[in-house]
Amino acid sequence: MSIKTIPRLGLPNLGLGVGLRNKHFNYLLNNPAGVDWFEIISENFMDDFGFASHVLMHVRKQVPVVMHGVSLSVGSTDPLNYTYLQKLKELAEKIEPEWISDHLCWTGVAYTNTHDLLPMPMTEESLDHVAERVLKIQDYLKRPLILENPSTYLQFKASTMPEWEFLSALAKETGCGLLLDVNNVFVSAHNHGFDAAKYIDSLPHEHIVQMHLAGPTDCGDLLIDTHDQPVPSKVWELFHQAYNLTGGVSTLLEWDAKIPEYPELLEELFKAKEVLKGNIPQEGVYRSPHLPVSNPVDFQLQASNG
Amino acid sequence: MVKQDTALLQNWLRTVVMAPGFLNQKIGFANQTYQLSEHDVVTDNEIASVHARLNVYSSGYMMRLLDCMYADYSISRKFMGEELFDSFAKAYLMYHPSTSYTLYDLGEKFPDFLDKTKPQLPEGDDSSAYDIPATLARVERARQVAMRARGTEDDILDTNVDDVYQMFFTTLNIRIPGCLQLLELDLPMKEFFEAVLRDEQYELPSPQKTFMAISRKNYRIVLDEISKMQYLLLQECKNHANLYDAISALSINQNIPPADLLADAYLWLPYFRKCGFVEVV
Repeated sequence: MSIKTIPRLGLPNLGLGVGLRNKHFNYLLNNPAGVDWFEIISENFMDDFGFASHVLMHVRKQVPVVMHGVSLSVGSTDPLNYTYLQKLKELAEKIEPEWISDHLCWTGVAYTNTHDLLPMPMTEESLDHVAERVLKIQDYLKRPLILENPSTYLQFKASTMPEWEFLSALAKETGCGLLLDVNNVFVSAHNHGFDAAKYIDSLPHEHIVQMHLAGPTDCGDLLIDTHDQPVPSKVWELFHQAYNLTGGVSTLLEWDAKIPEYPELLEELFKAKEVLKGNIPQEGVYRSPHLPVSNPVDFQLQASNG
Repeated sequence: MVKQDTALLQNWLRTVVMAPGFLNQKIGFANQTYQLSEHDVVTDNEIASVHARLNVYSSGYMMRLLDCMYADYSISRKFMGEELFDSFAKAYLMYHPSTSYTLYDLGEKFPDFLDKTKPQLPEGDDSSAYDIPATLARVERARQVAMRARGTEDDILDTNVDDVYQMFFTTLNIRIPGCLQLLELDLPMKEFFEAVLRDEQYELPSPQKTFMAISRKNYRIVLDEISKMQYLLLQECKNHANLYDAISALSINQNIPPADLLADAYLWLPYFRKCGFVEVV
């Protein structure tokens, strides 16, 4: 059996986890982790020697950690940023994560960084471009890269294939893993009018290493990926579907704004256990008349503010 | 129609996201620059208009980074007021778009920006009130840097200096931790900074040359006003591996007898170490 047909690329199913957020630092220093694993935002811990790193090393002694980045910009037509990759590698050497993930997106060109996860044109040309960069990054990091499907709010007319086809081809061509964010599938499916269940059915399931859960906001026409609400029923249904198709993968609840207290966060996470028994929580999609910030990032800075 | 390769589409969308102005102006600028039309670039359907879709990215860009400025400069924002802070922060983000992989670099030049954009009064007029925002932001930024930089927490080398003999007649090797930030300011900021932080009553600081040291000890920030000579000695300590070399250099630079400085240093050293300004190794 080749590595590409082993479930999760041979990587472990870590169970249920949450993102390590500064709001919970003091709680975690005084209480057990209560989860199977943590995901960190890689950039938060690069060049950090303060309290955040102290807490990270404290929880790292208890449970596994995964590094999730937001600035790799794998789809950008700028040259690869090897300074960034060096920092990523150094951090990985320090904390020994189970894997390193980022997003199928670009965050900027012309050497600027928007700190947003911007959508790729889904073309053969961009597929070749991203595949070449993924191979270089994997060579540099000496491990498979795990890439997440982002929430998107526009599609390019130049696109010639759906996102699931792009991701499937990328995974097969490079051997990279996939981080299936079922909330992002739900958001993008609504925004572009495609079938979310078909999207998940069509992915190469043996490449799916991890899943993300989150709650979006309904702003009228579009759904926005706000990471600030409970997981709605429809996202739980997609999670159930994906779990069955993959045979089970590490699953993480993302909550990055209006972050609840740690015990409440775990309550929301552990609904996943009930979902796997067929009990889908009844939760609608939160509605707001205002346009909120997609992909909130300020929680990263609050980590140092204490 | 222009061939829409990935590079062209990314530059077009980046312009829509980052250019100044209202959405229509941004789109117009991107279209003109790259000879494209938003209706030829973005798929339209009955769910949402092309402009509504672009607006998520365009307005989200500024709101997202503004939230980061709030997190980085919460005390400055409290002092300046939300409206005034927002106008300066938005202008700053336009003039200093992020070029870094980390958001920690985003607000690095904000104190300088506030300084450069303060009102220029006729010579002789008291402009000290206009110096406050930039000075406050400088202290706030230094505090942020001290929180994340390498500190003394993991070091087990800090040696005890128990008596005068040890201090005066043995070689005292020292190290300045990476988290020590030394500031030379034209306004006294400690009391003012702490009052704004704690929502207490305050008086605006009056012009006075002051020196400040900000560091971290056991993951807690220490922020204190120090004397000019303490400031100069700590600066000198950055360049020397032992205290006596630092004192000798300062003695020559300031034309002060080394014995006087050594006597002062004997009194200052316990305080420096307690605050995490210096380590004896």
